[in-house]
Parts: sequence; C-alpha cells; structure tokens
Amino acid sequence: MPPLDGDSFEDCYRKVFPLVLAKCRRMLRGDADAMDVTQEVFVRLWKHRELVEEPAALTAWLYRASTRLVIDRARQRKLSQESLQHLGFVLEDAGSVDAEARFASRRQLRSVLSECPEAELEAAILSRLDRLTHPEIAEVVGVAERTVRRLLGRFDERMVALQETA
Amino acid sequence: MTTRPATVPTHPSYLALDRFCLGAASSDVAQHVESCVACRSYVQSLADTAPASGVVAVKAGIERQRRNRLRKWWAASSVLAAAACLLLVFGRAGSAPTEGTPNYVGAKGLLSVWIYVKRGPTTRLWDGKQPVFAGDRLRLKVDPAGYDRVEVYSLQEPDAPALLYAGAVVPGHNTALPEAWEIDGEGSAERLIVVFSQGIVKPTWDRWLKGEVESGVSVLPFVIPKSSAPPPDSSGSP
Repeated sequence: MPPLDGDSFEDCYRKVFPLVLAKCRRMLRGDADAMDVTQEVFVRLWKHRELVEEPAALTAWLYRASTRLVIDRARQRKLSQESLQHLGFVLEDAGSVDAEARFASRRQLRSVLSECPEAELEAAILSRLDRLTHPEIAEVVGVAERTVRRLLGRFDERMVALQETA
Repeated sequence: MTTRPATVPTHPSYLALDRFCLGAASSDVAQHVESCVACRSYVQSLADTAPASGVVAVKAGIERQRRNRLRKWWAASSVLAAAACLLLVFGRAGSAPTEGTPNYVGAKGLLSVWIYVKRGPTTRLWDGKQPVFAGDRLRLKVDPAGYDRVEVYSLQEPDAPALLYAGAVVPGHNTALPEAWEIDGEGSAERLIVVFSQGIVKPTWDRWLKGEVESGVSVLPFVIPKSSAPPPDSSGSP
C-alpha cells in the first residue's frame, strides 16, 4: 500500500470532506451526528487509502461506508432522536406507501431498524435518498443489479406490510 | 427497464454529482449540471463547504485505530502463524483464463490471489473447493508480483464480464482489496476473473477468454461453486 503522508491525507480530506458531510446530512438531521459519522468515515478511509487516487472507487467506498455506519449507529441507538426520526421518515417515504402515513410509534420505527436486513436498508437509502440508479447501487454495494431489484422490492413489501399492520 | 425511482427521473444521482466534483463524471453529467439550476446549486454548495478543523480529530482516531489493531495483532499472532501454514495461494503469472485451470499452490512473491469468505461474523480463506452460500461476502487479497494494477470482473453473462473493482497496487506488496462482494442466490457458481496489468489496459475478452493474453497482462479465472442449500452455521467452515 502506498504511504500517504499527512499532507496528502489533508489534501484528500479537504477535497472529499464536503461530499461525505453532504451525504451524512441527507441521512441525519442532527448536524452533530452528521459530523461525527463523517469523521468516523475518514478514520476508516485511512485503512483504504489506496483509493484516494481512484475517484470512482473512492466515492463508491465513501457511500457504502457512510451508509453502513449510519445504519449501525441507528441500530445501536447511537444517534439523536432527531436524527433517528429523520431516518425513519426517509425510510417510510422509500416504500410504496402513502407519504402522509407515518410510523405509528417509535416502537414501530425501532422495529424496522432492528428487523429489516441491513442490505435492504442500505439499498433503500442509496436508491431513494441518494438517487442512485440500480447499476450505481450494484457498484457501491458489490452485488448484481438483479439483487438490487430484489432488495428494493422486499423493502417496499416490508414497508407496505408495516403500514397495513399499523 | 426502469433503473431509477419514478419520483426523481431527471437528475443525476448524488454519487454522479459527487464524482463530477472530483472530475470523474461523464460528459452527460457535466452537461446536465451546466443546464440544471438545482444540480449546479448542489455542486456549488459542496465547493462552499469548508472542511471542519476536525482533521486533527481524524488523525487522532487513526492513531487510536492503529494502536488497537496492533494489540489485536499481537493477541492473534499465534493463530495467524498456524493459519499461515494452511494458506492456499491461487493463481500463477501468465496463466490463461480457462475454467478448468487447476488451482495453483505456491509461495509468497508469485502472482497470487487469496479469496476470503465472510459468513456472519466469521471470515475464512476459501479452500478452492467448498461452495459458498447466498449472503456470503467475498473479499480478495492479491500479491500483484511485478504488476501495478488489478481489476476484478464477475462473469455473470457469457462474454460480458462486469467490472467489480479496478485500482492501482504496489508491485510486490500484498494488498487487500477494499471492496467486498455479496453472493446472491442465482446460478450454480460465482465466476470471478482477476486481471493484473502494467497500467490501464483495454480488456479484449474475445481473446482473453480464449486464453490469448498479451504480454504485460495476466488473467486469472476463479470458479467458486454455490450451494442452494441454507448456509450452515456461521461458525462453520465456508
């Protein structure tokens, strides 16, 4: 792995920081949460610093890492209520459900976050929140396009079922 | 086939816009940004965002992570030493991409690919025989020998390999690729092709898949059988 000195890392940080923060802000309402996740993404990026020279691979990795970090933190209740609620709205709007309908309770939101497979949550966030196409999601997540279609279909079904039981 | 949600049909994804900001976007995206106020505004907002002073915190986090890793490394060193004895190294410089190529067992320093299978919390080196299951994740480590670039393709459709990863590597240094790929339930095998080269080369699959590989390129195919049975317990051997 090529050495990346402090100056090079700071260059990368300056260049990529706004993109990562914007991505985190789309997922999280609280700015403190977004900043915290952004910092953690950069800590993890150090392990993959060979990506710095490959913008396409770098951005794919950043999207995957930040999305998974947010999902992990949401499941571990390491986000503010404001951010959790915002993520909940994002997720329910992602499904083919009445946009006016909202989670009936915090318990229902917790249920989605804890029971929905991470891969489905990840695909839903990348698709509906970040507007990624299926080929882009396939590239970011590292699965086939048909798998992306299946994940999003299952997520939609899950959300519809959830609203029906509410 | 629609590949984008119906609610946002006209704008590029944020990923495409971010790549545009890094100078890695297609001309279509560039043209769109030029003519779209909303996308131009997003791009401008990124340009206007000053990085927080948090680079110091990031560096501190990196240092903490490094120390933790060292501690774990020492704790696991005896296990790693035992595992190293069982390490299977696949691949050989200049081998042709025929499906029947037997797995090559060799020493460090040769062109090599290690395939790791993550199932649940457990990650193990693929032994060249055991099937993988839907939901397993594959990750590759390579020894590029004298090559400075590696590309990984999935051969899902005949004659149309899909690029999974491309990046530079340091010749002679083992490198774990940053990407991991999840196995789906389709088909009876996962076919991976790992291409090593000196610099960027344009794939010539019609020739490569017949085993006609030019100088300066090595193409290593791997056929990993898939099982349709439910995966065993994640603590079991993949």
